[in-house]
Amino acid sequence: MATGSTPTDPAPPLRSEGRRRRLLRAMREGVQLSLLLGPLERLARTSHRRWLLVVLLTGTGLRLLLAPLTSQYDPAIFGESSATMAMGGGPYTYLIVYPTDWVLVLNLIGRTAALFLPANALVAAPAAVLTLGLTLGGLEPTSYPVPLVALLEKGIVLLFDVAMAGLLYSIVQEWSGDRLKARLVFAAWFLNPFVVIESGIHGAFDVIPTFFVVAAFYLWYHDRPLSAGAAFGLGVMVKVYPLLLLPLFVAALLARRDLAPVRRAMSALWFGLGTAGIVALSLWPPGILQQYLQIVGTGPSVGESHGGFGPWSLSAFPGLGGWRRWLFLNTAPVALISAAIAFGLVTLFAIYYARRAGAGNWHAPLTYAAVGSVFAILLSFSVTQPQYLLWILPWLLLAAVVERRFRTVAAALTLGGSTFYVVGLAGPLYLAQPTAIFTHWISFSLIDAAVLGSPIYAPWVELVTTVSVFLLLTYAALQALRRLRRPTAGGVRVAA
Amino acid sequence: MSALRLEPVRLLQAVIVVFVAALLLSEGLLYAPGARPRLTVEQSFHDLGSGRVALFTNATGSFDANLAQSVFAVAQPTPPTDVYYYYDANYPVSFSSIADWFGLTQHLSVVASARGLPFNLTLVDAVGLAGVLRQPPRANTVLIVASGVLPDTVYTAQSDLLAPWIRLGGTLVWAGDTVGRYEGTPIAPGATFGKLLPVPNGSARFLSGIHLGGTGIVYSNRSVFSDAVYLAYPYAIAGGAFRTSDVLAANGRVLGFLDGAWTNWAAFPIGQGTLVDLAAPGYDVVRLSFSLVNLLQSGAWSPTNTLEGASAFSVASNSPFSSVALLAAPGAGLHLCAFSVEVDYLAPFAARSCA
Repeated sequence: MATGSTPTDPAPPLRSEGRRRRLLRAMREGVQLSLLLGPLERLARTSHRRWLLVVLLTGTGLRLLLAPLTSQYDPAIFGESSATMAMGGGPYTYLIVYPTDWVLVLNLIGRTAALFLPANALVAAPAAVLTLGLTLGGLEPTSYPVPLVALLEKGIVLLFDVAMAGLLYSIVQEWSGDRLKARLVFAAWFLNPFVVIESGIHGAFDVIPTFFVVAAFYLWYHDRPLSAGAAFGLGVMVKVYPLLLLPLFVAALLARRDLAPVRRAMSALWFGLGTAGIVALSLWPPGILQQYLQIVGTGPSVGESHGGFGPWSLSAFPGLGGWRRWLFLNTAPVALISAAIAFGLVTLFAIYYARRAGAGNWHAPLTYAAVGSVFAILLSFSVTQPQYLLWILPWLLLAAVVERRFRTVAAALTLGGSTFYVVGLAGPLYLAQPTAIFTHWISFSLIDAAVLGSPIYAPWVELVTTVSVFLLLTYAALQALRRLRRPTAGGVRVAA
Repeated sequence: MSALRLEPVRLLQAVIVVFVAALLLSEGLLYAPGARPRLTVEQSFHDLGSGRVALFTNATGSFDANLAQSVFAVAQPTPPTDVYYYYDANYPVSFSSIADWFGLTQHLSVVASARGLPFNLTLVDAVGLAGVLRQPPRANTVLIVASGVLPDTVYTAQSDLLAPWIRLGGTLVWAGDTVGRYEGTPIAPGATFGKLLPVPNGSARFLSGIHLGGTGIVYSNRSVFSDAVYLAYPYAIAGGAFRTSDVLAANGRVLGFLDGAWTNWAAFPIGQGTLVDLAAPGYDVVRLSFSLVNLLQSGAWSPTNTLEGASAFSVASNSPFSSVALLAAPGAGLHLCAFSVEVDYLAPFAARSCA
């Protein structure tokens, strides 16, 4: 997104530029390399067709290559849920803590896979997996989805990765009028190593609710309130976190000062209808809501680990077993308090957003407000795994269109998230362990044993990565808040 | 990309419509009559006279399923309806974890509910457990202790409410560390966990004459009972498994997996009651919940119940299954019960019928 200079060709420093500034610039440019911004810029200047072909083929090819060969605890859970439903179970016969719409997607995956394989062969649970799990000190996972199921599940995630990339492209194109920047954002998402790991290896589906959140705002500002409400509803019914962004949607309504009050009220009504329609569509079966609330309220085996990016990560610090135990025993009230804190912080950002945004200049205020709001959610909750960083990444990429410093933040987040994935969460290497099951000639069990056997390496890597990413996001949120509070006439100019 | 640039709103709306359509399709496949995968097994006994009974089995299904069928002669044809589950977060565990110890209750409830079983699962804490054990055991009642440790409210080096309760006819299903090895104390202020106090010769109160050993932690070979009733829990505690010859010598029953001379799961008669002991860690709550429900639903764990027959069969969408089995009529006061269970991992189906 930088024009005229690339990380491999830095501008010569001015004579008066201090050593510190030169060092900071070099570090920033070095970090930006992690997003391959230089090669991406060169590619973005080629023909439209060529650029699209290269980016889509590369990103898709990487994901499809990794998807069937790898797994992780979550895809194992998804596979087990799919298999249970394909063998006659109900949506929550296999206990799973996700809202109904994701379970319905898993049902489709299982039923589709069962067209090609017997339902009882959708997951594999050989004794070797169980032995490996017990040897490494915990039974995660006890099965893995067969390659077809892994491919189907990650294929859906891939489609939404493409959709998200396209949506970001459209937003930047509309905002800046600059096709080059739009292409770079498209590629910065679709070729992002962290996103590729999450989609192709982990198989986490966080891109789906995040896509629907971004889509909801886009549709709202293009006067499609019913569709916007439906998108918001879909986001919530796939993963609950978008519900905490409700104050931002209220702010978006208040910010439409270009609309007459009656029209604003009608828009709000349509938005509500769209959301309600989706919720009703998902929760109409008798008893389904009670089942889900019971599971999420008590949570099978929840509370076992509280780590991640908020203050709860401290509970993973060696020696604080008592705090973790307390968190487990009080998971439900803690979650409610966390939700209240998150809601309050999001409301703060929403207030500033409502003051700054208008019909014609919604992009920048929304982006900053979203950066701060999603950070508030990550801060408040006991976030445990790196996939939740995906919630904030699209907003950071949009903010990067406005300001260079956010490019550095986005690039550093990519590095941090990828590191978190690769070195694991003080436990078995997510990439390595299941891969050892699919490919018998690659055995990472020795590495796993070494990681787990080290009382220093494993917990400290998690803690250092956690704290680093947390500080980074704090910086981004504070910068976002600063810009939201700054009065701007006519919107924010996109950085050249 | 030119299409995206021109019509992003329309494309977004199309994505929403397609996703909603997919959800509707999924709901149809899940809730519409006839659309959900189904499996039906009808089992009926017919007295042929002359001391012979015929078991008719008809199975149909819309997907490929592998099943195991067992027939037991039981004194009590009704499976347990009341299940007490000891859970108290103030007390320690051994070869389990607080999350798994608690999580097992949720999985048990869901599996039982999926099968339409009238289980009444009641959680009792350490004090409540003492209350249960002070009462004479009731028929059709089972106590599950999956913590691997007994709380000091019911068991210490000097006292024991559990063994007398079993002797009076109670059924205890145990999982975790060796039964009777430890007395657990509640968490003291400022501490993280309660204490495990070794009870000298504690396990001998329950496992007298039973050698403990074995080195494996995952077994591969199934026993006859494990195959018949699908107790698919292959884990074991190294050094904590039971010597199968000792189990049989004690008039017990081998229930679980085998590793040479050792088994990880056995039922022992103690007085008029039964100890069903799973010498395995309780970490895999999914497999453990299915295995426990199969055990309880079959109603046949007691060594006094005899296994009259066992078989395996398969059903496919275009291939129903029918069979007739000839069995000896049970003795006086006994009932023949057939238990069919799908033996595929995660499959929820099972059915039980009694003569």
